[in-house]
Amino acid sequence: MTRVPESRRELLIDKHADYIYNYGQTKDSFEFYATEHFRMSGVYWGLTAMHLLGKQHMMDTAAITDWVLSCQHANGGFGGSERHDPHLLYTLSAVQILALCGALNRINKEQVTQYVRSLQQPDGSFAGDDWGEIDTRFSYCALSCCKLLGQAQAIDVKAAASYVASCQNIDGGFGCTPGNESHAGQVFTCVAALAIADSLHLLDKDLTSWWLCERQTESGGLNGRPEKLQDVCYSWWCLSALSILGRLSWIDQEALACFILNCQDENRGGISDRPEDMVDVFHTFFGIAGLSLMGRCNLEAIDPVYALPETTTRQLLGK
Amino acid sequence: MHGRPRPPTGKPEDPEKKKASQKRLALFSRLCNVVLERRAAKRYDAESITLAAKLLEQNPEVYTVWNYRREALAGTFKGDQGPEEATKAIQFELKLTETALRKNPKSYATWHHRKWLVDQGLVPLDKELQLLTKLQELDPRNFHAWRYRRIVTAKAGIPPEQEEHYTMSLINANFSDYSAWHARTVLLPQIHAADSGPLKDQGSAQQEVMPSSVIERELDLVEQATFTDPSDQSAWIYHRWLLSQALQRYQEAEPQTQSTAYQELCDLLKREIGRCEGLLEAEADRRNCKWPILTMARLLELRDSLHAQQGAGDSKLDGPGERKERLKELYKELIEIDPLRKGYYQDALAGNARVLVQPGR
Repeated sequence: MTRVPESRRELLIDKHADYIYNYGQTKDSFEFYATEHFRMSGVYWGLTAMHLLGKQHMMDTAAITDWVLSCQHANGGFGGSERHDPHLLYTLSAVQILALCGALNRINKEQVTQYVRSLQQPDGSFAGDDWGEIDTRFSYCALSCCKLLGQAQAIDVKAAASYVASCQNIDGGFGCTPGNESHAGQVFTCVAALAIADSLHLLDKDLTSWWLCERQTESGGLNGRPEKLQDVCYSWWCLSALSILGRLSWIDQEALACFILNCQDENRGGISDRPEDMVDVFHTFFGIAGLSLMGRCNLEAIDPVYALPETTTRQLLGK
Repeated sequence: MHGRPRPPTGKPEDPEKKKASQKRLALFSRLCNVVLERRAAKRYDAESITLAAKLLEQNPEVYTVWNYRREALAGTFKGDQGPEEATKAIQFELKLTETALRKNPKSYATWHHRKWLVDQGLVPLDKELQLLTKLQELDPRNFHAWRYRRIVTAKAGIPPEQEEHYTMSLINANFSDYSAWHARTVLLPQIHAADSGPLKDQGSAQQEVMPSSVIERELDLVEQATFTDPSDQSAWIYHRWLLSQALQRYQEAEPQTQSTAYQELCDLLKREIGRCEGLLEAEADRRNCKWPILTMARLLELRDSLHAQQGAGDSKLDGPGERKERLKELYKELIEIDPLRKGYYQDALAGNARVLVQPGR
């Protein structure tokens, strides 16, 4: 286990909040343009992180809501930003943001659900958009989206679950389509999708959890596949799945918390994939979400299935 | 940013570098603006889609711009401008996606565009496989490339035996190539299932059980790999699968062959326990022995429950108390050498974590 320098032992809440706030303000950077096509997810990561930090008041939710609405297309789906095509990934991010802003009443729920439903295939899988890429990530997006909108009945939940289950591999993990290698990101989407579909009995819990706990490396951090490097984002992907399966105790949480804290940039704020790398909003969110899941640093609790603050899902789903 | 080091703090930015990055920003933002404006205006002229290609070469993940190119090219691919134009357009797209994949080999949007090209039926699949094999040499673990490979081989009707040879060559080059081991868990049941045929682009969840000769051959392969590096997890995860296959064979045996199947499984367990013992004797440093110890624990558990189920007290074996004690020692040692997973080992010892399928389950 690595020793965490003094300056990084606590979660630098104010620095991270400033970093996320400023990320939303900087419009004249190369990154602003290079990440334009997935800004919807960027805003979701940032806003959720702010909620977990208890700093949501710093964000202009009215402006964010208006912007999200401006990214909706006539077919009900949302694009990654104003100038981009509708896609399930960003439709879920948009719904999550609106849920956080208490603004789900601003959209026509049936219209959004209709878009999601149009992407379900006869085998239960989901395409990401009209161009037909199939992936279990999209199954999660579809299930989460419909459930958050209170419209789960609009899609074939049973078929969706059985497709996801067909992507489980012999190592207990899940791939993007049947037969493809297990990947921790995919394991989160599949386990959470099965949880939403009330179908966790379709997977081998012990085997999946064992594969997940084997992701922890000597550094304390988690990797996404065997013999790969650790990365803060897996603090969310692996941990949320372990949490859903009730096996968080199978990893060393103290070691993981130290690894995440050591990835903080104590000067500029934000969290990176590994210590001393450049920070970004994606890893900042997943680092904070991981700490929240382990009940550390006085953060708001996060819901492992919906990746939203528990207060939000409790309100919406009465969980 | 994956793998990019943090810039040092407190140092003012080099004015030359700042100027260069401002210029880069100006050019890139202008290109984005022009392409997305033309896309919104549904402009499908040659100049517009060339600009789109330029943008994708620099930023391959901009899915909207790939959508733009597909819209613009759909007619050409259908042959609206004659077969020559269609071929020319395909060649251009193949080159563009190759450039984009070299820039970002993990670009979902680019791999999907490539798949769309293949779906148009105009791409020679043999060349496609050659290129893939080359790309996979650069990164044998790229799961996007593997996924695409499964699509192309299925489409080309490649026999699974040929792909199995490919995975073997990868494993021989590097025992630690988990992607290749994984591919075997999908291919081998396909090859050895009763109704084996050409490659199917499908999963491994509902698996056919393999003949014992294949299971034994694969266990020998694992022995080679684990002897080379007993701490690499790839072969050990594969080993767990082989054990579950052996167990499944026994469980699925017809009543008249049950006693043979039982003996077969007992022999296999005995041999594998012996192999783990061999590895443990050969390795002086127990800290490198997590995997043989864990596997040994699971083998013993399986053997014990098998005996218990058969009601077969083997008088030559230890009594239940001693067996429990031995397991306890193995898990205690695992907790010492692999403390990160202490919680799992505790649950496993208590019988609350069944990772190897139990007989009669």
